[in-house]
Amino acid sequence: MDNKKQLDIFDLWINEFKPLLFKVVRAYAFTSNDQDDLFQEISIQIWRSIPNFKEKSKVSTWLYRVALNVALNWKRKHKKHEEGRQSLQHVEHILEHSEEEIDERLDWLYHEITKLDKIDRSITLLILDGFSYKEMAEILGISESNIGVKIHRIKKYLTEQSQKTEHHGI
Amino acid sequence: MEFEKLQKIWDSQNNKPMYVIREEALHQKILAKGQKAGRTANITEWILIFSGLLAAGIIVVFDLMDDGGNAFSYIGIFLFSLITVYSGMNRFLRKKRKIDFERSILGDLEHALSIAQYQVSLSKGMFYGFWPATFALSLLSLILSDKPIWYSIVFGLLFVGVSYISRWEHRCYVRRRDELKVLKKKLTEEPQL
Repeated sequence: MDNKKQLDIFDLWINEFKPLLFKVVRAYAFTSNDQDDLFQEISIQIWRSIPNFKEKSKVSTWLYRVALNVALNWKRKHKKHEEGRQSLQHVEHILEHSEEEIDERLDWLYHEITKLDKIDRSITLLILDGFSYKEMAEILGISESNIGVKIHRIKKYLTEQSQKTEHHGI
Repeated sequence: MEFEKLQKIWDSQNNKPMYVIREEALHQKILAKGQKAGRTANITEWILIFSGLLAAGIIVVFDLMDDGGNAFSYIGIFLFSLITVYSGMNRFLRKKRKIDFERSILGDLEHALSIAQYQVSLSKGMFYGFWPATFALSLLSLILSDKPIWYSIVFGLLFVGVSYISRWEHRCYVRRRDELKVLKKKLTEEPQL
C-alpha cells in the first residue's frame, strides 16, 4: 500500500470515527497532556494497522480493538512516567476541547466509568456503544458467556450508581 | 436510571465531539514519533552488535595476538561473537516482523505475555548463566596470561557493574510480565454474580 492511499484511509477513519476514539481517550486519560499523548499513541497504531485491515470486520470494530489495546498498554506503561510527563505542559496540543456545551450527565457517566478497572472500562464502552456479544467477544477474545456475566455486573453497577446520583438531584 | 437511558446520554456525544483535532500537528507528530521509535531500536541493536564485536576483538588483539592466548580466550571470543550474531538475528527478525492486528485483545495480551516471558527467561539466563560464565572464563584467561593484576581488578569491577545492570533489567522484565498476567486474569476470569 502506498503512503498516499494509507494517508487517505487514515484521514477518513480519523474523521469518521473520531467520537469513538475520543471516548476511549477520555475513559483512560484524565489530564490534557495525557489525553493528547494517548490520542497520539492510538493514532500511530491506527496508522500502522491500516495495511493489515482485511475488511473481515467492521471498521468501527477494528478501531475499537486497536484503540482499547493501545489504551490498556498505555495505562500500564504510563504509571511509571506520570511525573515526567508534567514537563510537557507547554507543548502544543493536538486535541483541543470543543466549544460544545458539556452535558453534566455525560461527565458523571465518564466519572463512573473511570472508577472501573481497565478491563471493565473497555467492556463498558463497548456495551454503551451497542456492540453485540459476538462483536465484543471478537474484539476482546473471550467467550460470549464470560462477556454476558461481566456485562450483567457492569450494568447493575451503573444503574445502581445512577439511582444513587438521582437521589442527589443530577 | 435505566441502562437504556444511560445509553442515550452516551450517544449524545456522537453528534458533538468533545475535542477538535489539529490535523496538521497530528500528522507531524505521528511521523516524528514513528521515526523516533525506529531509531531507538536501531541504536540499541547496533550497540549490542558492536559491543560483542569489540569485546571479541579486544581478546583477539590483546590476548591471542599478544601471547597466543589459551582455551579460555577462544571460549570468550566464541561467547562474545554469539552476542553479536544473536543481536544481528533479532534485528533481522524485527525488520521482517509485521504487526498482526487481526487478533483480539486477549490474543494481543497473550502475544505480549509470551514475549515478556521470553525476555524474562533470557535476562535470567544472562544474569545467572551467560555473564558469570563469560567473566569467569575471561578472568581465568587474564590470570593465566601473566597480565598485571590491575587488569583483573578492572575486569572484576566491570563484572560487578554489568551484573547490577543485568539484575535491574531482569527485574524490569519480571514486573512487565506480571502486569500483563494481572491484565489477562482480569480479562478472562469469570466474575461472581
